[in-house]
Amino acid sequence: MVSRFERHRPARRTGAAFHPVRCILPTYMLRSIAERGTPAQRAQALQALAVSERIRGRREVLGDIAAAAAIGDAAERRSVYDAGHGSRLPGSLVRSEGQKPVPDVAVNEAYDGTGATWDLYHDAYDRNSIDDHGMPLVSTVHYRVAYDNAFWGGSQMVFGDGDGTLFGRFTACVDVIGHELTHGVIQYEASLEYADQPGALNESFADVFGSLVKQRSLGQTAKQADWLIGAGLFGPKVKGKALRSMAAPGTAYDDPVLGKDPQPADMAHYVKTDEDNGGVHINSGIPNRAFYLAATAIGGRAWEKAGMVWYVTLRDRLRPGSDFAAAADLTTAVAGELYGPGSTVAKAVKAAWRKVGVL
Amino acid sequence: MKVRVERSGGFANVHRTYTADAAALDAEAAGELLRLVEAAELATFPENPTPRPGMPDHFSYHITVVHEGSERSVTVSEDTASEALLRLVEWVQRQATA
Repeated sequence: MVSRFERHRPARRTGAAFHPVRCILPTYMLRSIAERGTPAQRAQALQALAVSERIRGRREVLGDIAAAAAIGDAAERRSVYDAGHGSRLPGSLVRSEGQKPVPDVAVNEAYDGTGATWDLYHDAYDRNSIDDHGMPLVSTVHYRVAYDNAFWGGSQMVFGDGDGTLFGRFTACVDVIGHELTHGVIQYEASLEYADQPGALNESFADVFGSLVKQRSLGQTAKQADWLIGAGLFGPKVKGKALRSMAAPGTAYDDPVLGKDPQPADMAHYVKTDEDNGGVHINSGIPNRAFYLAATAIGGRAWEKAGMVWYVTLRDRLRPGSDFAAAADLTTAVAGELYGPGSTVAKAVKAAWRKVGVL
Repeated sequence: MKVRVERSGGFANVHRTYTADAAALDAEAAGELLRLVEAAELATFPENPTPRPGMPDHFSYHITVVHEGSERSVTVSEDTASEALLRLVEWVQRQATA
Protein backbone atom coordinates (compact mmCIF):
# COMPACT_ATOMS: atom_id res chain seq x y z
CA MET A 1 0.00 0.00 0.00
CA VAL A 2 2.85 2.37 0.82
CA SER A 3 4.54 1.79 -2.53
CA ARG A 4 1.24 2.45 -4.25
CA PHE A 5 1.09 5.84 -2.59
CA GLU A 6 4.63 6.68 -3.51
CA ARG A 7 4.06 5.70 -7.10
CA HIS A 8 1.02 7.90 -7.40
CA ARG A 9 1.67 10.90 -5.19
CA PRO A 10 4.45 12.76 -7.02
CA ALA A 11 2.38 12.98 -10.21
CA ARG A 12 -0.70 14.22 -8.42
CA ARG A 13 -2.36 17.41 -9.41
CA THR A 14 -4.00 19.45 -6.73
CA GLY A 15 -7.48 20.74 -7.03
CA ALA A 16 -9.16 21.31 -10.35
CA ALA A 17 -5.96 22.23 -12.22
CA PHE A 18 -6.01 21.82 -15.98
CA HIS A 19 -3.22 20.91 -18.32
CA PRO A 20 -1.80 24.03 -20.02
CA VAL A 21 -2.38 22.67 -23.52
CA ARG A 22 -6.08 22.57 -22.83
CA CYS A 23 -6.37 26.23 -22.02
CA ILE A 24 -3.98 27.88 -24.45
CA LEU A 25 -4.26 26.21 -27.83
CA PRO A 26 -7.02 27.04 -30.28
CA THR A 27 -9.30 24.24 -31.44
CA TYR A 28 -7.82 23.94 -34.96
CA MET A 29 -4.37 23.40 -33.49
CA LEU A 30 -5.68 20.83 -31.01
CA ARG A 31 -7.28 18.96 -33.91
CA SER A 32 -3.99 18.96 -35.76
CA ILE A 33 -2.18 17.61 -32.70
CA ALA A 34 -4.92 15.05 -32.16
CA GLU A 35 -4.35 13.78 -35.67
CA ARG A 36 -0.56 13.98 -35.98
CA GLY A 37 1.07 14.34 -32.54
CA THR A 38 2.80 11.74 -30.39
CA PRO A 39 0.46 9.50 -28.37
CA ALA A 40 0.91 11.65 -25.26
CA GLN A 41 0.31 14.88 -27.18
CA ARG A 42 -2.73 13.36 -28.85
CA ALA A 43 -4.13 12.29 -25.50
CA GLN A 44 -3.76 15.79 -24.10
CA ALA A 45 -5.16 17.41 -27.20
CA LEU A 46 -8.11 15.04 -27.25
CA GLN A 47 -8.85 15.75 -23.61
CA ALA A 48 -8.70 19.45 -24.34
CA LEU A 49 -10.96 18.99 -27.34
CA ALA A 50 -13.34 16.92 -25.27
CA VAL A 51 -13.76 19.87 -22.97
CA SER A 52 -14.15 22.49 -25.66
CA GLU A 53 -16.35 20.35 -27.89
CA ARG A 54 -18.59 19.55 -24.96
CA ILE A 55 -18.91 23.22 -24.18
CA ARG A 56 -20.05 23.82 -27.72
CA GLY A 57 -22.38 20.81 -27.61
CA ARG A 58 -20.70 19.15 -30.56
CA ARG A 59 -19.38 15.96 -29.11
CA GLU A 60 -19.98 13.99 -32.31
CA VAL A 61 -17.24 16.01 -34.03
CA LEU A 62 -14.77 14.79 -31.43
CA GLY A 63 -15.89 11.20 -31.97
CA ASP A 64 -14.59 11.28 -35.54
CA ILE A 65 -11.27 12.79 -34.55
CA ALA A 66 -10.80 10.34 -31.69
CA ALA A 67 -11.45 7.46 -34.07
CA ALA A 68 -9.08 8.91 -36.68
CA ALA A 69 -6.33 9.42 -34.11
CA ALA A 70 -6.79 5.85 -32.77
CA ILE A 71 -5.70 6.99 -29.38
CA GLY A 72 -4.64 4.51 -26.72
CA ASP A 73 -4.63 6.73 -23.67
CA ALA A 74 -7.64 8.21 -21.91
CA ALA A 75 -10.03 6.08 -23.90
CA GLU A 76 -12.54 3.64 -22.53
CA ARG A 77 -11.63 0.01 -22.97
CA ARG A 78 -14.59 -2.03 -21.83
CA SER A 79 -15.11 -5.75 -22.12
CA VAL A 80 -17.98 -7.82 -20.77
CA TYR A 81 -17.70 -11.55 -20.08
CA ASP A 82 -20.34 -14.18 -19.34
CA ALA A 83 -19.66 -16.65 -16.51
CA GLY A 84 -22.57 -18.82 -17.69
CA HIS A 85 -23.78 -19.17 -14.06
CA GLY A 86 -20.44 -20.69 -13.08
CA SER A 87 -17.75 -19.31 -10.80
CA ARG A 88 -14.78 -19.13 -13.17
CA LEU A 89 -13.64 -15.59 -13.89
CA PRO A 90 -13.73 -13.80 -16.21
CA GLY A 91 -15.73 -16.33 -18.32
CA SER A 92 -16.23 -15.97 -22.08
CA LEU A 93 -15.96 -12.63 -23.84
CA VAL A 94 -19.32 -11.45 -25.18
CA ARG A 95 -18.86 -7.74 -25.92
CA SER A 96 -15.80 -5.51 -26.38
CA GLU A 97 -15.33 -1.77 -26.69
CA GLY A 98 -17.05 -0.33 -29.72
CA GLN A 99 -19.11 -3.43 -30.48
CA LYS A 100 -22.85 -3.23 -30.97
CA PRO A 101 -25.34 -4.24 -28.25
CA VAL A 102 -26.01 -7.96 -27.92
CA PRO A 103 -29.39 -9.66 -27.18
CA ASP A 104 -28.39 -10.25 -23.51
CA VAL A 105 -29.59 -7.20 -21.57
CA ALA A 106 -27.27 -7.83 -18.60
CA VAL A 107 -24.26 -7.60 -20.92
CA ASN A 108 -25.42 -4.28 -22.33
CA GLU A 109 -26.23 -2.88 -18.90
CA ALA A 110 -22.73 -3.75 -17.66
CA TYR A 111 -21.23 -2.19 -20.80
CA ASP A 112 -23.26 1.00 -20.51
CA GLY A 113 -22.92 1.29 -16.72
CA THR A 114 -19.15 0.90 -16.72
CA GLY A 115 -19.10 3.45 -19.55
CA ALA A 116 -21.20 5.95 -17.57
CA THR A 117 -18.83 5.49 -14.61
CA TRP A 118 -15.74 5.96 -16.77
CA ASP A 119 -17.32 9.11 -18.22
CA LEU A 120 -18.03 10.66 -14.81
CA TYR A 121 -14.47 10.11 -13.60
CA HIS A 122 -12.95 11.24 -16.88
CA ASP A 123 -15.14 14.19 -17.78
CA ALA A 124 -15.76 15.61 -14.31
CA TYR A 125 -12.48 14.74 -12.55
CA ASP A 126 -9.98 14.25 -15.38
CA ARG A 127 -9.34 10.68 -14.25
CA ASN A 128 -8.19 8.06 -16.72
CA SER A 129 -10.10 4.98 -15.54
CA ILE A 130 -10.03 3.19 -12.18
CA ASP A 131 -6.28 3.42 -11.66
CA ASP A 132 -5.87 6.78 -13.49
CA HIS A 133 -3.59 4.90 -15.88
CA GLY A 134 -6.14 3.68 -18.39
CA MET A 135 -7.04 0.38 -16.76
CA PRO A 136 -9.43 -1.62 -18.98
CA LEU A 137 -12.90 -2.06 -17.47
CA VAL A 138 -13.61 -5.78 -17.27
CA SER A 139 -17.04 -7.02 -16.18
CA THR A 140 -18.41 -10.52 -15.70
CA VAL A 141 -22.19 -11.08 -15.71
CA HIS A 142 -24.24 -14.18 -14.83
CA TYR A 143 -21.84 -15.10 -12.01
CA ARG A 144 -22.94 -18.26 -10.16
CA VAL A 145 -26.63 -19.22 -9.76
CA ALA A 146 -29.21 -16.79 -8.33
CA TYR A 147 -26.31 -14.79 -6.91
CA ASP A 148 -27.62 -11.84 -4.86
CA ASN A 149 -24.57 -9.65 -5.16
CA ALA A 150 -22.13 -7.58 -7.17
CA PHE A 151 -18.56 -6.83 -6.19
CA TRP A 152 -15.24 -5.36 -7.29
CA GLY A 153 -12.84 -8.30 -7.26
CA GLY A 154 -9.62 -6.26 -7.18
CA SER A 155 -9.20 -6.09 -10.95
CA GLN A 156 -12.67 -6.59 -12.40
CA MET A 157 -16.40 -6.25 -11.76
CA VAL A 158 -18.58 -9.26 -10.95
CA PHE A 159 -22.40 -9.23 -11.24
CA GLY A 160 -25.01 -11.75 -10.13
CA ASP A 161 -28.48 -12.19 -11.60
CA GLY A 162 -30.19 -12.06 -8.20
CA ASP A 163 -32.55 -14.75 -6.90
CA GLY A 164 -35.47 -13.25 -8.84
CA THR A 165 -37.59 -12.88 -5.70
CA LEU A 166 -35.79 -10.53 -3.34
CA PHE A 167 -33.32 -9.17 -5.84
CA GLY A 168 -33.24 -8.73 -9.60
CA ARG A 169 -30.18 -8.28 -11.83
CA PHE A 170 -27.43 -6.26 -10.19
CA THR A 171 -26.49 -4.72 -13.55
CA ALA A 172 -29.92 -3.06 -13.73
CA CYS A 173 -28.83 -0.14 -11.51
CA VAL A 174 -26.16 2.17 -12.84
CA ASP A 175 -25.47 3.42 -9.29
CA VAL A 176 -24.61 -0.15 -8.24
CA ILE A 177 -22.09 -0.32 -11.09
CA GLY A 178 -20.68 3.10 -10.16
CA HIS A 179 -20.51 2.00 -6.51
CA GLU A 180 -18.53 -1.14 -7.28
CA LEU A 181 -16.09 0.54 -9.68
CA THR A 182 -15.50 3.23 -7.05
CA HIS A 183 -14.26 0.50 -4.70
CA GLY A 184 -11.61 0.06 -7.39
CA VAL A 185 -10.78 3.79 -7.41
CA ILE A 186 -10.53 3.73 -3.60
CA GLN A 187 -8.19 0.74 -3.82
CA TYR A 188 -5.83 2.86 -5.96
CA GLU A 189 -6.20 6.05 -3.91
CA ALA A 190 -7.00 6.37 -0.20
CA SER A 191 -7.07 2.58 0.19
CA LEU A 192 -9.49 2.95 3.10
CA GLU A 193 -9.37 -0.12 5.35
CA TYR A 194 -12.56 -2.13 5.01
CA ALA A 195 -13.56 -2.10 8.67
CA ASP A 196 -15.12 0.27 11.21
CA GLN A 197 -15.11 4.01 10.33
CA PRO A 198 -12.54 3.82 7.49
CA GLY A 199 -14.64 0.97 6.07
CA ALA A 200 -17.85 2.97 6.42
CA LEU A 201 -16.10 5.83 4.57
CA ASN A 202 -15.07 3.32 1.89
CA GLU A 203 -18.72 2.33 1.50
CA SER A 204 -19.91 5.93 1.63
CA PHE A 205 -17.54 7.17 -1.09
CA ALA A 206 -18.69 4.21 -3.22
CA ASP A 207 -22.34 5.27 -2.67
CA VAL A 208 -21.54 8.95 -3.32
CA PHE A 209 -19.90 8.34 -6.69
CA GLY A 210 -22.39 5.60 -7.55
CA SER A 211 -25.19 8.11 -7.04
CA LEU A 212 -23.28 10.76 -9.00
CA VAL A 213 -22.88 8.37 -11.95
CA LYS A 214 -26.66 7.95 -11.94
CA GLN A 215 -27.39 11.66 -11.49
CA ARG A 216 -25.05 12.61 -14.30
CA SER A 217 -26.38 9.96 -16.68
CA LEU A 218 -29.91 11.28 -16.00
CA GLY A 219 -28.81 14.93 -16.17
CA GLN A 220 -30.25 15.63 -12.72
CA THR A 221 -29.51 18.46 -10.32
CA ALA A 222 -29.00 17.72 -6.61
CA LYS A 223 -32.61 18.79 -6.02
CA GLN A 224 -34.02 16.50 -8.72
CA ALA A 225 -32.02 13.39 -7.70
CA ASP A 226 -33.65 10.62 -5.63
CA TRP A 227 -30.44 10.06 -3.60
CA LEU A 228 -31.29 6.36 -3.40
CA ILE A 229 -28.83 3.51 -3.83
CA GLY A 230 -30.13 0.45 -5.67
CA ALA A 231 -33.58 1.78 -6.60
CA GLY A 232 -35.19 -0.90 -8.77
CA LEU A 233 -33.00 -3.73 -7.46
CA PHE A 234 -35.64 -5.27 -5.19
CA GLY A 235 -38.14 -7.82 -6.43
CA PRO A 236 -41.75 -6.60 -6.84
CA LYS A 237 -42.96 -7.99 -3.48
CA VAL A 238 -40.26 -6.41 -1.32
CA LYS A 239 -41.47 -3.50 0.77
CA GLY A 240 -38.88 -0.85 0.07
CA LYS A 241 -37.79 1.63 -2.55
CA ALA A 242 -34.06 0.94 -2.49
CA LEU A 243 -31.22 -0.46 -0.38
CA ARG A 244 -30.05 2.82 1.04
CA SER A 245 -31.21 6.41 1.17
CA MET A 246 -28.51 9.07 1.29
CA ALA A 247 -31.07 11.79 2.06
CA ALA A 248 -32.83 9.84 4.82
CA PRO A 249 -30.69 6.93 6.00
CA GLY A 250 -32.76 4.24 7.75
CA THR A 251 -35.87 4.74 5.59
CA ALA A 252 -35.03 2.84 2.38
CA TYR A 253 -36.88 -0.39 3.20
CA ASP A 254 -38.94 -2.10 5.90
CA ASP A 255 -39.82 -5.62 4.85
CA PRO A 256 -40.96 -8.76 6.73
CA VAL A 257 -38.22 -10.88 5.11
CA LEU A 258 -35.36 -8.40 4.76
CA GLY A 259 -35.99 -6.47 7.97
CA LYS A 260 -35.65 -2.72 8.31
CA ASP A 261 -32.98 -0.45 6.82
CA PRO A 262 -30.46 -0.27 9.72
CA GLN A 263 -28.63 2.92 8.71
CA PRO A 264 -28.23 5.78 11.20
CA ALA A 265 -28.60 9.38 9.97
CA ASP A 266 -26.25 10.95 12.53
CA MET A 267 -23.50 10.20 15.06
CA ALA A 268 -25.97 10.03 17.97
CA HIS A 269 -27.26 6.81 16.41
CA TYR A 270 -23.89 5.35 15.34
CA VAL A 271 -24.17 1.53 15.42
CA LYS A 272 -21.46 -0.38 17.28
CA THR A 273 -21.38 -3.92 15.91
CA ASP A 274 -18.95 -6.71 15.04
CA GLU A 275 -21.02 -7.70 12.03
CA ASP A 276 -20.50 -6.35 8.53
CA ASN A 277 -16.83 -5.59 9.26
CA GLY A 278 -17.91 -3.26 12.05
CA GLY A 279 -21.03 -1.95 10.31
CA VAL A 280 -19.42 -0.59 7.14
CA HIS A 281 -22.74 -0.70 5.23
CA ILE A 282 -24.61 0.62 8.27
CA ASN A 283 -22.68 3.64 9.54
CA SER A 284 -21.95 4.76 5.97
CA GLY A 285 -25.40 6.39 6.30
CA ILE A 286 -23.79 9.19 8.33
CA PRO A 287 -21.19 10.38 5.76
CA ASN A 288 -23.72 9.64 2.97
CA ARG A 289 -26.12 12.13 4.50
CA ALA A 290 -23.32 14.65 4.98
CA PHE A 291 -22.65 14.53 1.23
CA TYR A 292 -26.36 14.86 0.45
CA LEU A 293 -26.71 17.86 2.78
CA ALA A 294 -23.62 19.57 1.33
CA ALA A 295 -24.62 18.91 -2.29
CA THR A 296 -28.21 20.12 -1.87
CA ALA A 297 -27.08 23.23 0.05
CA ILE A 298 -24.60 24.07 -2.74
CA GLY A 299 -27.24 23.39 -5.39
CA GLY A 300 -26.82 22.68 -9.09
CA ARG A 301 -25.27 19.48 -10.31
CA ALA A 302 -23.86 17.52 -7.39
CA TRP A 303 -20.90 16.01 -9.24
CA GLU A 304 -19.49 19.43 -10.09
CA LYS A 305 -18.67 21.10 -6.76
CA ALA A 306 -19.57 18.73 -3.92
CA GLY A 307 -18.37 15.80 -6.05
CA MET A 308 -15.09 17.58 -6.85
CA VAL A 309 -14.45 18.23 -3.14
CA TRP A 310 -15.11 14.59 -2.26
CA TYR A 311 -13.05 13.34 -5.22
CA VAL A 312 -9.97 15.46 -4.46
CA THR A 313 -10.23 14.47 -0.78
CA LEU A 314 -10.35 10.79 -1.73
CA ARG A 315 -7.50 11.13 -4.21
CA ASP A 316 -5.08 13.33 -2.28
CA ARG A 317 -5.93 13.52 1.40
CA LEU A 318 -7.58 10.50 2.96
CA ARG A 319 -5.37 7.70 4.27
CA PRO A 320 -6.15 4.01 4.90
CA GLY A 321 -7.02 4.61 8.56
CA SER A 322 -8.95 7.89 8.18
CA ASP A 323 -12.11 8.16 10.30
CA PHE A 324 -15.26 10.30 9.97
CA ALA A 325 -13.68 13.27 11.77
CA ALA A 326 -10.71 13.19 9.37
CA ALA A 327 -13.06 13.06 6.38
CA ALA A 328 -15.00 16.04 7.76
CA ASP A 329 -11.82 18.09 8.35
CA LEU A 330 -10.27 17.15 5.02
CA THR A 331 -13.35 17.79 2.86
CA THR A 332 -13.82 21.15 4.61
CA ALA A 333 -10.16 22.03 3.98
CA VAL A 334 -10.31 20.92 0.32
CA ALA A 335 -13.53 22.90 -0.22
CA GLY A 336 -11.74 25.96 1.15
CA GLU A 337 -8.73 25.42 -1.11
CA LEU A 338 -10.79 24.84 -4.24
CA TYR A 339 -13.51 27.43 -3.78
CA GLY A 340 -12.26 29.75 -1.00
CA PRO A 341 -12.51 29.34 2.79
CA GLY A 342 -15.49 31.72 2.98
CA SER A 343 -17.22 30.25 -0.07
CA THR A 344 -20.73 28.79 -0.14
CA VAL A 345 -19.17 25.41 -0.89
CA ALA A 346 -16.81 25.43 2.10
CA LYS A 347 -19.57 26.63 4.42
CA ALA A 348 -22.01 24.01 3.12
CA VAL A 349 -19.52 21.18 3.60
CA LYS A 350 -18.74 22.21 7.17
CA ALA A 351 -22.42 22.70 8.03
CA ALA A 352 -23.26 19.27 6.62
CA TRP A 353 -20.74 17.48 8.86
CA ARG A 354 -22.01 19.49 11.82
CA LYS A 355 -25.59 18.52 11.12
CA VAL A 356 -24.76 14.78 11.17
CA GLY A 357 -22.82 15.30 14.41
CA VAL A 358 -19.31 14.54 13.16
CA LEU A 359 -18.00 18.08 13.68
CA MET B 1 -28.34 -33.91 9.23
CA LYS B 2 -29.28 -30.23 9.23
CA VAL B 3 -27.36 -27.45 7.53
CA ARG B 4 -28.07 -23.80 8.26
CA VAL B 5 -26.52 -21.06 6.13
CA GLU B 6 -26.66 -17.51 7.48
CA ARG B 7 -25.59 -14.97 4.89
CA SER B 8 -24.63 -11.37 5.68
CA GLY B 9 -22.64 -8.60 4.01
CA GLY B 10 -22.57 -8.15 0.27
CA PHE B 11 -23.54 -4.95 -1.52
CA ALA B 12 -27.01 -5.12 0.05
CA ASN B 13 -25.94 -6.21 3.55
CA VAL B 14 -29.25 -7.91 4.30
CA HIS B 15 -29.31 -11.03 6.48
CA ARG B 16 -30.71 -14.22 5.01
CA THR B 17 -30.94 -17.66 6.60
CA TYR B 18 -31.40 -20.84 4.57
CA THR B 19 -31.82 -24.31 6.09
CA ALA B 20 -31.72 -27.80 4.64
CA ASP B 21 -32.82 -30.80 6.74
CA ALA B 22 -31.95 -34.24 5.36
CA ALA B 23 -34.93 -35.72 7.23
CA ALA B 24 -37.28 -33.55 5.18
CA LEU B 25 -35.60 -34.32 1.84
CA ASP B 26 -36.07 -37.28 -0.48
CA ALA B 27 -33.35 -39.92 -0.42
CA GLU B 28 -31.54 -38.55 -3.46
CA ALA B 29 -31.43 -34.98 -2.19
CA ALA B 30 -30.45 -36.11 1.31
CA GLY B 31 -27.55 -38.09 -0.21
CA GLU B 32 -26.48 -35.02 -2.21
CA LEU B 33 -26.52 -32.86 0.95
CA LEU B 34 -24.31 -35.39 2.75
CA ARG B 35 -21.87 -35.50 -0.20
CA LEU B 36 -21.71 -31.68 -0.37
CA VAL B 37 -21.05 -31.39 3.38
CA GLU B 38 -18.29 -34.00 3.21
CA ALA B 39 -16.73 -32.30 0.17
CA ALA B 40 -16.80 -28.91 1.95
CA GLU B 41 -14.43 -30.32 4.62
CA LEU B 42 -15.77 -28.04 7.33
CA ALA B 43 -13.44 -29.60 9.87
CA THR B 44 -10.51 -27.85 8.18
CA PHE B 45 -12.01 -24.37 8.68
CA PRO B 46 -11.24 -22.37 11.80
CA GLU B 47 -14.31 -21.56 13.88
CA ASN B 48 -13.27 -17.92 14.15
CA PRO B 49 -14.51 -15.41 11.63
CA THR B 50 -12.39 -14.40 8.68
CA PRO B 51 -10.03 -11.69 9.96
CA ARG B 52 -10.94 -8.10 9.19
CA PRO B 53 -10.61 -5.95 7.19
CA GLY B 54 -12.57 -7.78 4.53
CA MET B 55 -13.01 -7.30 0.79
CA PRO B 56 -15.60 -4.72 -0.27
CA ASP B 57 -19.13 -6.06 -0.69
CA HIS B 58 -18.26 -9.73 -0.35
CA PHE B 59 -20.68 -12.08 1.39
CA SER B 60 -19.94 -13.53 4.80
CA TYR B 61 -21.35 -16.99 5.57
CA HIS B 62 -21.99 -18.52 8.98
CA ILE B 63 -22.59 -22.22 8.35
CA THR B 64 -23.83 -24.62 11.01
CA VAL B 65 -23.97 -28.38 10.51
CA VAL B 66 -25.88 -30.50 13.03
CA HIS B 67 -25.20 -34.20 12.62
CA GLU B 68 -25.83 -37.10 15.01
CA GLY B 69 -26.00 -34.87 18.07
CA SER B 70 -22.85 -32.88 17.31
CA GLU B 71 -22.78 -29.36 15.94
CA ARG B 72 -20.12 -27.39 14.14
CA SER B 73 -20.18 -23.79 12.93
CA VAL B 74 -17.78 -21.88 10.73
CA THR B 75 -17.76 -18.26 9.61
CA VAL B 76 -16.11 -17.56 6.29
CA SER B 77 -15.96 -14.74 3.75
CA GLU B 78 -16.75 -15.77 0.20
CA ASP B 79 -13.36 -14.65 -1.09
CA THR B 80 -11.61 -17.08 1.24
CA ALA B 81 -14.15 -19.92 0.99
CA SER B 82 -13.38 -23.00 -1.09
CA GLU B 83 -15.43 -23.74 -4.18
CA ALA B 84 -16.75 -26.89 -2.45
CA LEU B 85 -18.06 -24.81 0.46
CA LEU B 86 -19.69 -22.30 -1.90
CA ARG B 87 -21.36 -25.19 -3.74
CA LEU B 88 -22.87 -26.34 -0.44
CA VAL B 89 -24.08 -22.79 0.28
CA GLU B 90 -25.61 -22.47 -3.19
CA TRP B 91 -27.32 -25.86 -2.92
CA VAL B 92 -28.84 -25.14 0.51
CA GLN B 93 -30.09 -21.77 -0.73
CA ARG B 94 -31.66 -23.39 -3.80
CA GLN B 95 -33.34 -26.14 -1.74
CA ALA B 96 -34.67 -23.62 0.77
CA THR B 97 -36.15 -21.33 -1.86
CA ALA B 98 -37.40 -24.02 -4.28
